[in-house]
Amino acid sequence: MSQQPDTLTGHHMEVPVSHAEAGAEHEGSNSAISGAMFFWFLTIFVVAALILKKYAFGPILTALDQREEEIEQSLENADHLQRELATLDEKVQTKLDDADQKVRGLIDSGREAAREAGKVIEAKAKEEAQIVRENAQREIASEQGKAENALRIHSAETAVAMAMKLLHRELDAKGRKELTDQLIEGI
Amino acid sequence: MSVNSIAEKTEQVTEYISHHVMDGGAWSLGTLHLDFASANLPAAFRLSGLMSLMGASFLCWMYCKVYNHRARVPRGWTNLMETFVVFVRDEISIPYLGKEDGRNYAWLFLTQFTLILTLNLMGLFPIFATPTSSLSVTGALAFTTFLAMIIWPVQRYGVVGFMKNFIPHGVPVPVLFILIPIEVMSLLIKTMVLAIRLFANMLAGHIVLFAMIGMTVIYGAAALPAIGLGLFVFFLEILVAFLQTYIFVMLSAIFVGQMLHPEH
Repeated sequence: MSQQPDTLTGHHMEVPVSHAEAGAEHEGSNSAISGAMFFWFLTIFVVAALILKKYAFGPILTALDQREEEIEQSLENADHLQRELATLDEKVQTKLDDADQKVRGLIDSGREAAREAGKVIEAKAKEEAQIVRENAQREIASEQGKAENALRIHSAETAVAMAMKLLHRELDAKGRKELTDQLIEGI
Repeated sequence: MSVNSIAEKTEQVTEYISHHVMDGGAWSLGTLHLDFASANLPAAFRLSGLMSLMGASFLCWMYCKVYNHRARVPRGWTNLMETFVVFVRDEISIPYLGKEDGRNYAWLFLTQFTLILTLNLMGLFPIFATPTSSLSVTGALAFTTFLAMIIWPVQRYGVVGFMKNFIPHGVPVPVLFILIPIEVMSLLIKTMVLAIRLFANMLAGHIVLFAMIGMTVIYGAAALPAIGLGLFVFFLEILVAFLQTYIFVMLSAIFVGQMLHPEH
């Protein structure tokens, strides 16, 4: 049997020289069941299964179940909270609608009150304006009276002055006429 | 290149492939050469035995040490390993065994799934070999399913109940003489088919892969495109490794589920 290194797989290659030698290695053939290998692998499997069941798969499956339960619980809680939120939303909406209606009522009543107040103020203003107007008219009348009196006094004084001038001057008819015209123009 | 030279190289490659698919007693790690056969060690310490031990140890190390059991949100390797656990439990164990049994017996299918996948993928790394291309290994794996098909129903229904479930109701007694051997054979055949399917698929993949690479040894540079084909087969082997693992474990779950719930 010649030995050749296997560069592809790293397995040591023992190429059988003859078919007889190949037949001798039949026990090592993969297609034949070797009892020792069968029980050796069975032992490996059982030991690995026991270790993995106790230290790996058992705890992992328990943890997964717990996590799934937690997630399910969280989802239920979230669902419950969502329902509560929807209920609260409805309540808030109802309260907002109520508040809206109240505000509208307040605004309407405010407008009405403002309108009433406006009317009162307007009436009062009119009344005050009337008083002011009457006062002004009275004042005008009073001033007019005063002016007439002043005019009357002035006219009288002028007439007296004219009469005095007529008396003090001896005027002919022509001169009187000129004087009279002058006085008239002066008036 | 002469015809004789090609014939010699073809014979060499054929011998190499047939040697490679045999469970040899030696393992080379670069300069280190381990010859188990000459050390007169038991057959269990042949290459497949050693690879199986390494694969199982690696698996236990990964799930017991690398897996972060305290992580609330799994990441990285923990996430990958947990994906396998969730997949086997939710897609294989529970659908075929029911919710209660699927959870209780998931550990067996998880061990089968992770171990077979590890062993299948080992051969794709240059310094390792694929133990699942040995019929002894796949036979032992199938035997664990066989044990589960017998032990768990017996635990649940008792020996008499198991036998009653094993044989269809209302069958005349004379027919039982024919039916019982058929049912026993069916049970054994199911187990053997599991073993042979996995073994044949893993072995065939290796033979095809080495045949592709061997073409470059026989025909030289003219066969360089075969390297590309070999690369394609390599990726196909990855797919086959996952697919055969899934098929083996799924069929195991179906067989065990049939025995645990004979009414379905």
